[in-house]
Amino acid sequence: MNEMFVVFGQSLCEPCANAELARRESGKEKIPVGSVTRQVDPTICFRCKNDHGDLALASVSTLPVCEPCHSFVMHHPFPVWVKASFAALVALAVVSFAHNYRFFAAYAEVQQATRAIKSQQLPRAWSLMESAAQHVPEDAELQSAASFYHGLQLMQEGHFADAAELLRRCRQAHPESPVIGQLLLKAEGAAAFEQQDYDAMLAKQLALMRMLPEDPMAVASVSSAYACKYAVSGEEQFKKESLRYLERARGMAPRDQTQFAEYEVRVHHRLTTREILSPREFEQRYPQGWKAE
Amino acid sequence: MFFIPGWLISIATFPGVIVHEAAHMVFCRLRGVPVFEVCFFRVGNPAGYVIHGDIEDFKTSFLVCVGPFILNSLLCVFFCFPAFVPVRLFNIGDPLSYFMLWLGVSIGMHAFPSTQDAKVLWRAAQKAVKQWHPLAIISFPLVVVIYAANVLRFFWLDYLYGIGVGLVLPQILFKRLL
Repeated sequence: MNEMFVVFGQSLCEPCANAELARRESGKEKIPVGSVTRQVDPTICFRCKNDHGDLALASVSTLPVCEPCHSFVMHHPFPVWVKASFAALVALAVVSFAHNYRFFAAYAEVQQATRAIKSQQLPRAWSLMESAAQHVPEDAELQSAASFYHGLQLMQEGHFADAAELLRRCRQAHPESPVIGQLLLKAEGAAAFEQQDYDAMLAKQLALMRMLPEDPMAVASVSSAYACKYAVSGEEQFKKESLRYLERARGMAPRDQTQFAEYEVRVHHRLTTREILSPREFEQRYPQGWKAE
Repeated sequence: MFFIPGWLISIATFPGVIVHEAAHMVFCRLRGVPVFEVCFFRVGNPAGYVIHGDIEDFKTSFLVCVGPFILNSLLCVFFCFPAFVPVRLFNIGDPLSYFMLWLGVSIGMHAFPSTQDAKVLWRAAQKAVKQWHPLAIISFPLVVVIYAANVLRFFWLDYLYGIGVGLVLPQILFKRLL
């Protein structure tokens, strides 16, 4: 008992019951609900198979179970191997997270650095990107990004030669990037100015102007380079070229652009006095501005 | 179409089968439903099963049927989480990370209730809807969705779900939170 089934009125063991049902299904016969029931002896426990004589056991879902088995089916325990495996895998997940924590930290720092750059907080952006690159030194993209941000920071601080060195490394990693190319030319042009190599300065500014033909400041920087060459050599052709590019840049610049206006004043000062001053020196000498007499 | 037999997929993703059956069992225990027999994994069809007692109330029936979807999805995210940043965002992997991703995606792939679960849910909903049980009402379209999802396994929907929950969803959430 408890191992037998009543199938369409016949008492059958499990294999015979399955065979009978398969025969009926292959004959496309319907098996209505209730046509198969388990034969139950209420004195034999369904789970442990112990015969309790004449004692009718309590039933769980119509199946007779003894007291210990009742407790078992109501609180069916998970096998030890399931519990142990789950605990081991959770521990492994924790180990994996600890092992990979640096990637999470680096990713968070990259996101924060991107937001800092958008809000023009360059020192913070560089610091975060540098930290991210240290967390994941094997990621070439991060190293390149950290160099790029550092280069921007150095340019802002006026260390153009060092900035150019870092931007050259970025350029090697991303030769197709126009932004890196433009920044590199700006840094190299400014470094050449500091080193008083005005031929190199002119070459860089001309290259930058070719990349940004519609940018008035790029055109004005060519004028500045020609003004330096005139200041050094005194050759009139350089002065003419300087004025020509300055005129062109003025035609492109918006009327209210203060940056261009100040740039124009410095170029005129250089052409008039043949004295080459950096923007900082010019500001220190002429805090109220300068006008040709 | 790249077809792989179901039993082979079950073997390759056996943690998901185990968790699927464990999820049924968890909700049976939580809701006081007797469990007579459990097979967490075998090579066969079905790859696992839980034989439990009759369920009287519909809410219990719903939870037992839909339990694997809840638990498998949560564990998919949990096990993929430590590994998704290095592998997916930095393209840097190691054996442990790949193992965690396989584990998580395997579990996610078996989140869908089976057609047998859907049948049980349908029968229970037919009775409960007569009392205007709200869960019973939404169960009818849900059963259709479960059947559709099981059919679409042929087109790797279960794999896409595992990848989506384990890798894509955390990436979206991570970006928004940071």
